[in-house]
Amino acid sequence: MEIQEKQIEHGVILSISGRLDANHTKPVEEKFLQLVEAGQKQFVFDLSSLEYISSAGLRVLLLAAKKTKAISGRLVLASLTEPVLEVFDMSGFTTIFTQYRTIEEATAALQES
Amino acid sequence: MDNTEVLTMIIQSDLRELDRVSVWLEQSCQAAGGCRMNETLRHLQLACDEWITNIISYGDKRDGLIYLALTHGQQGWTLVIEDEAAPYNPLERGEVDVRKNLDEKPIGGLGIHFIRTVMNDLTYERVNGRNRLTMTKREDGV
Repeated sequence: MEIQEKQIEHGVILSISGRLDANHTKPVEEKFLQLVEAGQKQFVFDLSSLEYISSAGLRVLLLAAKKTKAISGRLVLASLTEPVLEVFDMSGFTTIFTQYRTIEEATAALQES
Repeated sequence: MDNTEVLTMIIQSDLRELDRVSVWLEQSCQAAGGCRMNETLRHLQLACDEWITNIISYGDKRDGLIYLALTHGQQGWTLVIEDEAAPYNPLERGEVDVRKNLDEKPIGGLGIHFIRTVMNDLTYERVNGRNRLTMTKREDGV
């Protein structure tokens, strides 16, 4: 699992790649909380290179969504891959997150707010 | 590989082992001539990961070992996972309600829900002081 961070005009893009299982959730949670601490409120989670996610991975995304709501921020997901979408559908998470097919669309959604 | 050949692996009760298990499953699948569908391997990976994570996170044997055995036959795949923690039967756990909204969304229970969803048959036994979960994945994708 790898995380890359890219600052954009209205927020930050976090690209999460590889496998997001119970062994790899901590760095994502820490990075996200660090950014919130630093005053970030708008996030795009770029999942275009995320090959695998388990319930532990979903848990981190859920915590991030709840935290973002608590600070009146915005969190959107971009470019979910087929295997990740399947797990989202199984969990009922599909309706909880705002999702965009491309990073560009997701980024534009931040600018609107 | 026929039904008589069983691929086995023993791991520590440690989340860092998950990477090794993932590679083992992929290689075992290849050794058996490859899973007919990517989906089969993916579902095996998910069920295996969720159950092992459950054992390591909630089991009471931090220094215990976890035993994996994979068999491939005409019907599909059978994965048997044994652990040395206190008796725990995941099949007695109620179904989670996945329709809840963000504020009510349950954090726990999703792993077992995924296992039930992607595997075709599950059997739990308590044998010789171990929990044994047998999971079957039919290869017709049903």
